[in-house]
Amino acid sequence: MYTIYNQRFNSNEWFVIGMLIIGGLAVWKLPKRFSVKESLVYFLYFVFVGIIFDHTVGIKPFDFYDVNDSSAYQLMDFLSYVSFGPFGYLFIYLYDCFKIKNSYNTIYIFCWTMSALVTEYIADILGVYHYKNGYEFYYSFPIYLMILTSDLLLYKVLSSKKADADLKSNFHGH
Amino acid sequence: MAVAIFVFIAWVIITVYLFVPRRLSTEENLLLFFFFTIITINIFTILDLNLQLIQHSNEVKMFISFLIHRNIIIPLALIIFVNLMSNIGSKTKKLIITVLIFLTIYLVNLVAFGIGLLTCDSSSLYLPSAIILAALMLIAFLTMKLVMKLPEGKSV
Repeated sequence: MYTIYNQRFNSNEWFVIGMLIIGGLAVWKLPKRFSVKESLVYFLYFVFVGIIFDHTVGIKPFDFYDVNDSSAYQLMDFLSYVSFGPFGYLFIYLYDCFKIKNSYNTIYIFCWTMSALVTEYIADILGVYHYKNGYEFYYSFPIYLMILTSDLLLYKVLSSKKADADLKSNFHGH
Repeated sequence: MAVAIFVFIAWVIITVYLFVPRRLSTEENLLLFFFFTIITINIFTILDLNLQLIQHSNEVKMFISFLIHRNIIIPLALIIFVNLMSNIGSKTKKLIITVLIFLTIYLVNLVAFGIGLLTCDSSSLYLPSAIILAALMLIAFLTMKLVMKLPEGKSV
């Protein structure tokens, strides 16, 4: 049936709750730059890709890893995906806030990928992830690159649509 | 064969989505698509991994078809549903659209069971399958109403 790694409320649960609190506080306290809907898109995008990847490579026939205390799907697993959300928002927020130029996109994505890998490594040590069938944490590197690049593309598409809409409304206004 | 069938169904759904009149904005469509996919994946995982009521095939070709069904066909069909619901005024038309979309997803689900993409231990898969899809459509409709009420300006 299920593989049970531990049944206590310990390091892995505290890590997920800690990430939720840190991320949530950052999103709440930072001055707002986007509309509610746009903010929710950036927030939900990371939850969406997190769940898609985990529920693709983390289930049979691949079954590369389990999340948290057992191989069954638990509330804490879901919360660990929700904890990705604030970082998706912050990734775009900081990009927009510092007005990072296109020539620095690669460096920006690389820095975030490295910090995501370090976070995953810490999460692995604390028992959030349990790798199986030969999977190693650094295999996530290309996945993070892909997710962050697509998130930035999403921001660019939404920004250009917003700019077009502003231009149209200004044109009709005059 | 299974991959070809599900790629074709996904193509039809994507094409319909592109031609359906959309009152919802790009942000609203994206937001709802992400949300519907998250809900669908959660429902499938709980039914499969935890309750072992409906299980997906472990054969790679079937698994690819399962991913297309779970991640594209169902969420996009729900997106088409909410776009039409927000665009149509007449209650009769709304009812017809609801029934048509329900039957479409239900039939695709039956195809998934028929070709062995999904298997079910229970002798009757028709009613539970219908209840799950109806619940998904209700959640989709209520979420669409909620998202449309969100303010346009910067979050407080």
